[in-house]
Amino acid sequence: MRELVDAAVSILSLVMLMTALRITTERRLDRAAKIYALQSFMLVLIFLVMGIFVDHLFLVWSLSGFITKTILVPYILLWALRRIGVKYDAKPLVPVTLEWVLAGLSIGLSFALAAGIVAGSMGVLIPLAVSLSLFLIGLLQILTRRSTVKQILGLCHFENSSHLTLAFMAPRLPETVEIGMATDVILLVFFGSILTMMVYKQFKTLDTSIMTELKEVNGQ
Amino acid sequence: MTAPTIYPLIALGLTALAGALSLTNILVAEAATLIASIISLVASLLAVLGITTGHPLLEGELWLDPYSAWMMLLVSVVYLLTALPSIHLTRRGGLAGLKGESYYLLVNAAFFAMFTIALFNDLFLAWILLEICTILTVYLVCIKGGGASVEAAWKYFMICAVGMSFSLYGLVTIYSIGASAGVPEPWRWTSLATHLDVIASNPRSLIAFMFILAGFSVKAGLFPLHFWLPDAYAEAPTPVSVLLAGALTFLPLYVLLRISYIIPAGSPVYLLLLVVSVATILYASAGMLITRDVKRLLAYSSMEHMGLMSFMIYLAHEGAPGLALLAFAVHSMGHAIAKSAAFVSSGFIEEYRGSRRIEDIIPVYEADWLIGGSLIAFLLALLGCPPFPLFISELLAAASCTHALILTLYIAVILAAFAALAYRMVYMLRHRRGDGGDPPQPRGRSCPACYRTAVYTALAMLIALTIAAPLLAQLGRPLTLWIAG
Repeated sequence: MRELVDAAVSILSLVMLMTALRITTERRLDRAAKIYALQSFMLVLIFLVMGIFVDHLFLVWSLSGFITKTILVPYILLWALRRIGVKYDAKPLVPVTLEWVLAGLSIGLSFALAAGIVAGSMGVLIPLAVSLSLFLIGLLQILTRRSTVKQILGLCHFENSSHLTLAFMAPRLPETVEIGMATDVILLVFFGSILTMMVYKQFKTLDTSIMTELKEVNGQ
Repeated sequence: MTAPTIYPLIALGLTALAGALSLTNILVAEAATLIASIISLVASLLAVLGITTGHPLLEGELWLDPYSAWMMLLVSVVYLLTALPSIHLTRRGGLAGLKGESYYLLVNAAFFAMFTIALFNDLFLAWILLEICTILTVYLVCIKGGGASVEAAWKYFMICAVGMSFSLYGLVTIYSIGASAGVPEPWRWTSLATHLDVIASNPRSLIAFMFILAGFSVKAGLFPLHFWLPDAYAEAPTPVSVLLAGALTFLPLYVLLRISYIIPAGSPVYLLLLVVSVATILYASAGMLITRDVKRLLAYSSMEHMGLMSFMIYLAHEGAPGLALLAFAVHSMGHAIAKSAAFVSSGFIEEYRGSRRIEDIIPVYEADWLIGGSLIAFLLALLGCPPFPLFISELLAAASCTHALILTLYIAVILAAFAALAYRMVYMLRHRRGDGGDPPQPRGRSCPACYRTAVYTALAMLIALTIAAPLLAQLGRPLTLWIAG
């Protein structure tokens, strides 16, 4: 049974990784938000499997993840996108090919690091490696993508990455942490979306590289 | 439950109540926030005076010892100095697209979170609350409207959120090290601090602490990820600048101070902390020399003081701990009062002149000689001139340097920061408006009573702190002794 659980968790983790790569390179912002919902749903399924077969505590994680990350976060992002009417991502700072290379290197580095931390058990190694990959891909997305929505989704990758790491490296945390993490992600995306709307209102674009007023104000 | 234990809980309860009442109408929101801030100040002061033993009075998810009571007092001081200018901000309609009630809700929610951080014992709770404070205040930074403030808010949002994600990863790693070694309740810093051998023996802890340091440094505006700080302070409306500069930027350093007690002695993390502190002070000094904006000048001064306080955290471990901890306590309070009030005074002068450029606002006493004179007094306090509390804390920190090289380095960075701010002050006092072009005409408003009250209250608090500083020796007691009770 343990092998089956490990296999299920590993496969679901790998699907999460694929969705992260797809979000980074997806040009349609609304589609990127929907793929994020899929990524979060994979996380929810991981918690569900662990909740049924490992520790019932994860059932609570699964439920809160479903409400916050699978439903509310994509809903808020899609609501903001509908309000401003922007459909496409801005041109990335680096060529997409280079982005793929960097993402590949990040994944390689993550698997090497994870293998150094948990030698042996594949059921922990793959989720941990995926968690580190999500973190690095999120960082890459924030650095190379200029649209505010893509940068918020980069932060969401961090959130999913931390959640996955918490599950495998820090189980049995007090419930306050889970409630706090759920509140945090909702506030992060809600205020990020409000800011996105303000950015669009001021600059008529979501491209952060257009924002240079501070340089002008400070005479730089 | 003893009386000193109830006082912080009163402050927490009243802040939450003020937040809830803020939703009713603007007059209720104003009154509730002001009353909550005054009672919180009194309650925190009673808590500080009431804790006379070395035993912590709360030891669960929340931790109450004399040091955390002191931090409650610091937050309540900033709460009052934020509540007063907020009245003027909401009444003159300086909130673009935000209702006054929502403004007060966000402010009270941020202070509720900050009061809880002052009492933290759970590392994850502190992280979550710091992150929530950041998100709530991001919106407050850009409520004036305009491209520059939205841009500043976006920078603040992204840089701090990325930084905090790094620290979360670090905290998770430390937790897993503790949990796998059987440390009870490994999410509490007090529990981990009594099992330092477990952490010291695990090589992963070094990377974890590097991540934690990187994350909290970003939030505290330390070099090299400080870019958000001058922009956010400068573009935020006056009360929000007070909230950020007085308490919110400092609290990550307080959390870092507590976390430093789970970093094993001799760890390279301390050396990294020293390097970051020195680089921050030097960078901030250069910033103070070249900036021509009074709010940015105060922001760079904040960076300098954050650098100094992180230097004090280093000294609490690699110098004389008692003196360094006392210096940290006095310095943090002195900085919170002087910087908050300096933002209030400069906020009025900015409104009076319609400009933040130093060339346009000099002589600063022309708008109102009492407010302008107070700004000079607060800048002198921030310079560390005697008899102000920051002079005492900087002397205490110098006395806590046990190594000649560290003392030399400390004196060098202090002198660099002093020279930079003193140069700007001399410029403000000696030059006349219009030296750099046509000055804007004054708008001729008189100083709002709430600004005036905030400035005079802060002056009284600075004097009280100067008198009380020698009586605070208890705060120099090593924190590890409180863990043991």
